[in-house]
Amino acid sequence: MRDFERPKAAFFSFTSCEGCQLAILSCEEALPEILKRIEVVNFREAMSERSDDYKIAFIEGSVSTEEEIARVTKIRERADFVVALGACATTGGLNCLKNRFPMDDVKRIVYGKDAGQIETVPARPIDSVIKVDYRLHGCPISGKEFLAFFADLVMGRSPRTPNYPVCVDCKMAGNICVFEKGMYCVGPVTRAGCDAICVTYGSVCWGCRGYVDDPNVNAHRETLKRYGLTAKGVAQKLDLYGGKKQ
Amino acid sequence: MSLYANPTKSSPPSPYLPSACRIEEALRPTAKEKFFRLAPHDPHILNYSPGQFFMVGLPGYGEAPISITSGPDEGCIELCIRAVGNVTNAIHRLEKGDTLWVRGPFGRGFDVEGMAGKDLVFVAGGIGIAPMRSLVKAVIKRGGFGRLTLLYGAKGPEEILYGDEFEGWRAKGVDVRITIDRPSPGWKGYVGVVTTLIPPLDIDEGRTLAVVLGPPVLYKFVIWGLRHKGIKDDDMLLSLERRMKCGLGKCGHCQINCVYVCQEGPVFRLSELKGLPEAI
Amino acid sequence: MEENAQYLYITDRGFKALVKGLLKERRVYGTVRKDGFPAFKEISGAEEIELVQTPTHLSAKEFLFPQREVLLKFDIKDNTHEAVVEAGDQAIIGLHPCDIRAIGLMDRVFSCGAQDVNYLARRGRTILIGSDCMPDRYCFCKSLGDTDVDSGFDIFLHRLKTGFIARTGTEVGADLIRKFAGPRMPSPRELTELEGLRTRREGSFTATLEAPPEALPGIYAMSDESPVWERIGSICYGCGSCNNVCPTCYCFDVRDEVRANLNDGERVRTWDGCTLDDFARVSGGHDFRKTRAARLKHRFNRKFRYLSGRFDSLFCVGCGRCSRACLVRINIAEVTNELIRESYKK
Repeated sequence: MRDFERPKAAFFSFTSCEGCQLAILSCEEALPEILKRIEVVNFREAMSERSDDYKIAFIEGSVSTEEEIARVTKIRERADFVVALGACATTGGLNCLKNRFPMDDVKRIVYGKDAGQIETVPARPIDSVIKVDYRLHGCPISGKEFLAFFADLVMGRSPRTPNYPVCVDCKMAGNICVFEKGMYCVGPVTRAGCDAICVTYGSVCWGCRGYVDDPNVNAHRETLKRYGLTAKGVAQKLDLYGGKKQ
Repeated sequence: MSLYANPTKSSPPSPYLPSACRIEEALRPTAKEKFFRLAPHDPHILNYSPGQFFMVGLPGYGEAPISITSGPDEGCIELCIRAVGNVTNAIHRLEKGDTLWVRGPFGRGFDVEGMAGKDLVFVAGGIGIAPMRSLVKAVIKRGGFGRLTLLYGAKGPEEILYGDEFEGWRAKGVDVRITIDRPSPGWKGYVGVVTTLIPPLDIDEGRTLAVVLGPPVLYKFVIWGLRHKGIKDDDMLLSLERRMKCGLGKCGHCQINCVYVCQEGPVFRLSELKGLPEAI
Repeated sequence: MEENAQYLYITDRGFKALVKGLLKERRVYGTVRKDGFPAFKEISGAEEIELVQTPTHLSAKEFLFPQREVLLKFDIKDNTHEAVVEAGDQAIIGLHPCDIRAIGLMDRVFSCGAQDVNYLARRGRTILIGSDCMPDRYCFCKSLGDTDVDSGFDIFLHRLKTGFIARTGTEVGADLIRKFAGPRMPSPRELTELEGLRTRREGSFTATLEAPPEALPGIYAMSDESPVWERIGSICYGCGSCNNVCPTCYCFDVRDEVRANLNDGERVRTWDGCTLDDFARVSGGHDFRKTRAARLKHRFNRKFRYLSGRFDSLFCVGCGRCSRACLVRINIAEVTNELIRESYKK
């Protein structure tokens, strides 16, 4: 077998819960194999050393301050390949909920009398600031998809992003449709790859992976209304994961 | 109770199991294409006809349908592979001595015997010259045809494939005419898309078969040009490209209306595609 | 009672004994209620089975043609491939006549031309046990010919008020009934009860097609330019649910999966769907069916026209699952009726 090169990789966190880094760390059995193939030079959740010499940057979290805009720009300058890691980075994620309100109100509600010292701008996905080469979707990302991406990266395959709705994963999982059960979801317009775990465990699809490439949003708006949601409810359903990009 | 029982000895072998081929030669004629000459371990797969294809693959990368570019009975398989996806990119990294895996040959190729005695006009666009080469070699080898004309269009001189073989074909009586899409320094031949070579042709439409191989965009215009020369749809043969996952008429990806390209095709008479609006 | 030779009576206890007997030697999948809805599921005890009369939301095809199936194992370093056939003894209980007809069609697909050993090995080790159904508002098998099947199963059970009338379709089925279920000849009263059930079922269909099944390929052939396709294409999600719930949709994707050691891996086939984006896109990027309308037209034609010459049968069994699963209410019987009406005008 030909030897694959061992590129240097760094992991960075922006506005997020850092759950995506934990999702990677929980791929326990595969970690030694991964570390044989890539050299990790920066990973806050797992190591204390830091280095600015890296080829691949994994970026988790959305951008929500001026300081973060500067930092993510710097990372882009240093890295050859930037991977957006998880919903906050790919779509803006739940952080974008704050964008529904004026920033001054948001600061006051969250920080009270300290609000004056807080810097904040509307939250956004990282590709609204820098060019992104690949996106690992999900809240959090799926360990399985991370491993597949890792294999693609090292073996020189272009990584494949599912371009079909969650309904596919959901039917494959043998689930009863949530609409049959009297609930609502945004699975029919949301990118799959999650194995529909939310529905499998009794919840609904919240849309954390963003839209498929060509979503029929109008059709889904009608469906949600037909099943009893108000126009406002429909909008909130479709916008939960914020900067859902087409 | 094991759920992973192997099939009994009497059951047929898995049609998904590929067979190994040693790469005897690997050449890179252009930036995008690479030629491979393969020596298969299983000699049965050498029994192919022009126009057929193999599912060519590498473990870890998958398979892609690739048409055969060598003539029949040459004791080897030659492929011309353009790097356009994961499988073909990975294959491009292989060199002489490496192993390539193939299943096939699949599909309906050209009926060279049935074409005997006719004038043949071969129209190839881009990588369509690769399967055309297989047919041209078979036709030359058999002999007993009327006039043979090859029209070949490439984007530029640097993309011309098998350029070193055309003199040999001319010596065997094939009128080879090459055109490039845009003018290029030092190029003294025809300029323009391949369809521009059709109107000047002197064609005896009663005894001519036209064979058209190329990318999907080529077909509409070439067919239009050939019809203008009086060639009937029944006398036009073409090969269709589709996504394929099995080569066995099962996976459904290559289906056009009622036909499976991997079974009834990839070579069709144009008249057979009537009523198949998705074909071209 | 010569004409009733294939009809046997078994008690409720006999049915349970049959399931128990099967469980001793094989995996058993049966109909249950999942979240209150009919579904097939692997069972470990006879009491779990409920012979639900309305169709399951997903078909039983996954037990013969799994969502994900390994075709090959490979070792990149050693440069070797090994064929994998995952098949074990199994039984499926609670198949309705449409499900049984669908399996018959899948058998034709996978044995036509190159033998698909993966499907056929599994199929060869599967016992099929049918049971009675009652149509819901999406079922229209009656319009496609028979509402019942007389072959294609090992055993078919008709539920009576107490006990079952069992029909056996194969020697294997007859042996199983004899071995486990303690059969006896049915009484005239029991046979009358069965006739009553059949009559009630025949009268319960609400969805019907407005043309006979043999006319459908021709009607679809006239419908390429119909405005119906654009209309349903505009509301379709392209979500593939119709493909995935369909008992006769057999298209698949094949891809290589590699372990984290980047050496061991598997060539895997997974369900694919012709209504999904990218299904007909080739490596060069050209997509032969770009729009949802074109893809839906392809799927409907596959059910009623494209495969009818190849396999000498329509490929829709009238189970109505695609209509039931469609959130935008594209209904296969209604669409077909619309095309039928258009064809009458031409």
